[in-house]
Amino acid sequence: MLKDITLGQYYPTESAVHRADPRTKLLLATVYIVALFVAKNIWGFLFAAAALLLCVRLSRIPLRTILCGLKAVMFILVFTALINIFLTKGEHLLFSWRFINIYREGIYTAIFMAFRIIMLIMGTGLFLTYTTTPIMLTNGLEYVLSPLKVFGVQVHEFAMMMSTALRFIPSLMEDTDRIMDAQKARGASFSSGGLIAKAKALIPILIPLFVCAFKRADDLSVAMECRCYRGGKGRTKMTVMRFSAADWLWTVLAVLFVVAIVFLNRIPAGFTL
Amino acid sequence: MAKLELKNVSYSYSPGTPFEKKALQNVSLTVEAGSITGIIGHTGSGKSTLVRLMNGLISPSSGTVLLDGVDINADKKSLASVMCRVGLVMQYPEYQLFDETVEKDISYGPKNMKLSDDEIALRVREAAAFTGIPEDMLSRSPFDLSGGQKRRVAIAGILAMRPEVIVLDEPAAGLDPMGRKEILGGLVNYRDRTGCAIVIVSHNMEDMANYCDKIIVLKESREAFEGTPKEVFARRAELEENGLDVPDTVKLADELRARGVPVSGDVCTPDALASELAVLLGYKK
Repeated sequence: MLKDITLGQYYPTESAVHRADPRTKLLLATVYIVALFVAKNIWGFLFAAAALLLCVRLSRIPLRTILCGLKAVMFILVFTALINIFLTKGEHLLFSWRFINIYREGIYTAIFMAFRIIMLIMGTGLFLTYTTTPIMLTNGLEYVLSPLKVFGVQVHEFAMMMSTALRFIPSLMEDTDRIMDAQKARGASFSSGGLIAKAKALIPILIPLFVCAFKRADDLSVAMECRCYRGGKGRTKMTVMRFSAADWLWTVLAVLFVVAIVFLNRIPAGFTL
Repeated sequence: MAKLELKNVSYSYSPGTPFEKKALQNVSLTVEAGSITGIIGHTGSGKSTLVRLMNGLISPSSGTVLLDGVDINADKKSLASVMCRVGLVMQYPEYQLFDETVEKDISYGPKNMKLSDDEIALRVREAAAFTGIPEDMLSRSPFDLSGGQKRRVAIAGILAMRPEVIVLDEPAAGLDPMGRKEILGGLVNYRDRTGCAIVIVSHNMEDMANYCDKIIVLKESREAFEGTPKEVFARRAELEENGLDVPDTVKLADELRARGVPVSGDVCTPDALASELAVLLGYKK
């Protein structure tokens, strides 16, 4: 059951997206996020969706795998959609009952926002977690954030924390599965009873899970110290990042993409955000 | 009738995807009441999948699992009661402990079975006695105990449910010799007292030779062969081909035979070998 959540898991295969430099992919992810917020009408959204699907195709990752990652954010999606439907004010009143007023603009906003979130998750997932190994992602992040060192920010430590957190997601999922099975074998039931009973049923899972997480963290830190890890000072990289011609091409395409979105915003459309 | 029976059971992880992995293929086996059955196999041969099938944590892709002749997966609602009747002690069970005191943790299973408080208290004491947990430890926090003690508490948590079949995945892995002897001895005691069936998965061939009535050998998700410890460990070459080992006693007997000492080919416990040698050396008729 928990194995179905794929948010934050590297999908190993060979593709142009996988090959790109992690810094390029960080740039692409950022540009894509910005573009999604720049896009104001249906044309911009359609163009962003088309570009995303093209990149998914290029990455050779099954679309289904990436869509599965959305399950984790389903709640946020529904929640934002409802907020937008009920709280957006507009001109065309569709439905009114006591204090509830639903406007056509609200419905449109809800749909646009939902797609914005979906594409946001898919886009960042595609460029960052699905096609970039955690180590490369950390290297990229460290490089991009390195100017902050001037202000005394411990960039390397921060990047290391990020990659460790990412690395531990699948492990903790496995732990959760194992502990759930163990408690089920002791007659636990996680689906029956009211809300309080269900919440109480989680205690036998959460406590061992925390114990496991702390133990893993402890083991990892000891293992790192045993191999003389002393933070970022003077540390060299096993894989050196190279910005190739393909990366320049990606960068140019990213810039053109944003320009295109800005232009598409000027095309008249039925509804604009 | 066999207590627990697996008929032509197969199981695949992530079926229908490129990641499909056949964990078990067409495995059939029986577990008799009052017996101790051992399962040995190389890492990845499907042992852990097999034990999960036995108590219904997973249901087979094909084939049936019968408990007292009844298919446990036929009625999903009865699965909870199956899990109480077939107690599963998973690998490193000490990581499932969660409650404030040892006593409360052991009573988690019986509580889920909705037993009365008196009955639960009785069962907790009984299970603690079988696993060698002293009375004064019951009020302590399970997180303050040593690894071996935690393991005992976890096994007691299953015994307190009074299962008819106990399935243990590597119950003694990582314990000191004393600890493993006590835990396995406690299980044998429990079997003698209740007549339950026990299934043990282990890599420790000495334990297997000492405690099991029957051993099942798994090889690459299929059953390779089965038999009494004597029969199984007499096939040393085949076992070693599968990346498995034989008890040191068997190796010693083989060495003796290579040097011309006529010990029989099917001794697998120190006790049996010593008796034979005593006779051969003329100390005992």
